[in-house]
Amino acid sequence: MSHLIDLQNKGDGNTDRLILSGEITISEARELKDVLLKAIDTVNDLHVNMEGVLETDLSLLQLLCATHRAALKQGKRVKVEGKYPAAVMRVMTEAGYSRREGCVAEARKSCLWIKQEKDKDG
Amino acid sequence: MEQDQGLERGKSVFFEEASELLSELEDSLLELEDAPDDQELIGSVFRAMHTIKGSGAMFGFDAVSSFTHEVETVFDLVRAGTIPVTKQLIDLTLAARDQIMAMLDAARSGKPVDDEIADGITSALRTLLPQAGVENETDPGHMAKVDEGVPESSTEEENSYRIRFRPELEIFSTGSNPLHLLNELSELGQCRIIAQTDALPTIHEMDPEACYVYWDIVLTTSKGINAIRDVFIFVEDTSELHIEVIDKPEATGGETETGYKKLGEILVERGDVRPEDLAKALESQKRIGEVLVEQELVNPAKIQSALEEQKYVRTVRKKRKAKGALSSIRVASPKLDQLVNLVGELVTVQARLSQVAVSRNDPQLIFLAEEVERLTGELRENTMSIRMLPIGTTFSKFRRLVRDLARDLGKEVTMTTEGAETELDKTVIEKLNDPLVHLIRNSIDHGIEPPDVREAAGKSREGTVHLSAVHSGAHVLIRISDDGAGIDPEVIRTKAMEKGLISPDMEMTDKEIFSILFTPGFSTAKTVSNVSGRGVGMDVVKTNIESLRGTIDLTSEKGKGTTVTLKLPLTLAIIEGLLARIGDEHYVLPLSTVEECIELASRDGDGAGRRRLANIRGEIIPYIHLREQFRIEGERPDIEQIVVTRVDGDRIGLVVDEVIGEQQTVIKTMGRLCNGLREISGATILGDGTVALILDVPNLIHGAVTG
Repeated sequence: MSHLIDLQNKGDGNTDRLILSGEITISEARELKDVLLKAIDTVNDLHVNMEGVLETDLSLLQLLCATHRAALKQGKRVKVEGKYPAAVMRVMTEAGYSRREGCVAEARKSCLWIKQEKDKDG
Repeated sequence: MEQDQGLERGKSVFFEEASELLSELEDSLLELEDAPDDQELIGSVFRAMHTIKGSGAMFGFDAVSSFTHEVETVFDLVRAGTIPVTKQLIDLTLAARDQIMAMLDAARSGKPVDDEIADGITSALRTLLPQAGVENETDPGHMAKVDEGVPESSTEEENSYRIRFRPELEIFSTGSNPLHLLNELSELGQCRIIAQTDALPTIHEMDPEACYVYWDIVLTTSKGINAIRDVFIFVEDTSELHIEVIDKPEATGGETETGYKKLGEILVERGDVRPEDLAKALESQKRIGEVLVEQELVNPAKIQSALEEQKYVRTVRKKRKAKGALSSIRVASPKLDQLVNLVGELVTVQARLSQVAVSRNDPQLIFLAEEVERLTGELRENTMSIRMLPIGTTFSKFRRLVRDLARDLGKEVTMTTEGAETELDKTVIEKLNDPLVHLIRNSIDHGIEPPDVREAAGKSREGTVHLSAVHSGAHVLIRISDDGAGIDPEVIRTKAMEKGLISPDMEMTDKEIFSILFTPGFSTAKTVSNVSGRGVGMDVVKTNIESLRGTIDLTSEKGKGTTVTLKLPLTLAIIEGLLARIGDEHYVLPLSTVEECIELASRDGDGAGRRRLANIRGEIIPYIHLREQFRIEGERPDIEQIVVTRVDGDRIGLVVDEVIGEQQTVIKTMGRLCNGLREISGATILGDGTVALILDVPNLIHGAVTG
């Protein structure tokens, strides 16, 4: 299965949109890390769209978490845009990632994995 | 040998449980038809199938097991949302349920079963599967899977474990996927998994191919700690793994009133918070979790994980408690019948004892006799209550009947019930089944009109059959009513005249006309369907109900519907009676019909004719002189007593020589020779060994009035 990791600037120079689709697993982890790193060092807002992800694993969740954590330190924002696809939801469930509150104090409200209904606040 | 016996016993338990499961399954399916999205119902159908499959395989009923497996497969997909709940699916599953029932019956009796039906259902079910599912047929793993099926209600001890699993950073590169381990773990039982991510660095410092996450898991399983360790067997050396038992079946929540350890305790036990920090945090009045997070002594995920554990264990314990409260044992019904017989004998002996005690006038003996009387009374009540069953079990069986009949006849019918919790003696309920089936069939076949006809008559397309049960004194009233076409008295009248049952010039009330319906061989149906209309039926229903010492009554309004009311005694074995004497003969009147007993003042109204009138506190009450009625010879005493009874709302007196008192009466049925005696419903043996006849008060009065 192929994959797509596509980083676009939204035009204002301050917001990036990262579109992920296809197979985003540990084999893509290095590539994804570099893209995320570049994004978080250049813009203030990063929107991640995972709607097209068909297969994934824990590495994606870890990378997004780590990016979020870095963003919090620098006063930047990361958020998930659009729906969580079934593949991501499944890994969230299997890995016990679905939660009501963020894991570290700074991310209590903005955690990426807080149950869907609260997404809008995050 | 012993093992064989064990297996046999296991089999018979399996049969019983399976038939219970199948009847629950039927209920769930019918409910599911009305609420196709109800996940809980879908789950319960799946579980029922799963249990039958598993325990069937365990006892060697491979055919049952593999057939059930087919249905289970379909419902697994329904559960996953792949296949929708449709009418076709419900029809097929109901048919499958019947087939499983037939297979079990066949297995029990050793008779062959029609495989074609099963094959038909199986292939129909397979057409519902998504295309890939067709391969199932050749799937070699398919039978093996059947063998794995374990009954859901494991009797083994279930413990809850707290597990912390922290794999090494390089776990991905060793080829192990921690998620697979977690999945395996969750297959052991019910579990809650929470990821801990506090070790995760920022993206700058992170190695994208390392695993920084570790897990807190609460798992409830009957498999034991070794099974849990086995899951981690290949990573155990390189990972951190802590497993602790946090809940056992015998623990019932002694730790706190709310049922489990406090949050702080859990955190300290887990090593997430140091005891001294906890002590410090407890000094403030705020919620302990908040304080710990504020002081950065622990991160929120740890608190959340501990809270989840708390919630989880509480739920497990609550469920266990509920299960314990519902516990019951299975007793074969012959044993229960024997118990009732013995209690009956005991009641008779006790009556005798009381009588002897009174005649000896020995205070000590009288005291003892009273004690025995009290205990016997309680024992009788208890035994009777064991035999009582809610009528709802019978009602729910009819939902299927109504559904299938309506479909066969092309009508739209719903069944509503009321008073399903009303309790009746087991024997009465069993014998009630056939008459009720007949009455419901009649309602649907003759009563409820086809949808178009209903619409034209300004009614809703869907007809209703309403079943209700309600207590009324020592009786239960069961009503079967429909909102169908009703019965036209004229039609019955004409038909009855044709058959020569009545003469054309007879004046009859509607009630009398309706009673013709209960005459043997009378049917008004123009065509004989396979449902009803053969003219055998209503008379059989009547005989059945009367054999239960009940009565049947029918009312109907043309165009509006028909109601049949059955009045049945609560129990058939023992009644509360009033013992009375006329000359040397003893009689028992069912206490349920008795209102009061009064001395018959002088011989007022002592005139000709059998029916006289007594003035009781200004109310004129007709009475029947039983001495005359039964033609008992001898002198009438100077003072007689009148027992006032109420039948069908009328107060009528029965005059006896003497009222002896209340008595628990064990009913013995009379031989066939006495079948014609409508005034007598049975006999009982008195304390001194003599026989007393039990009067059937309504029939007695009816006979005296018309005779």
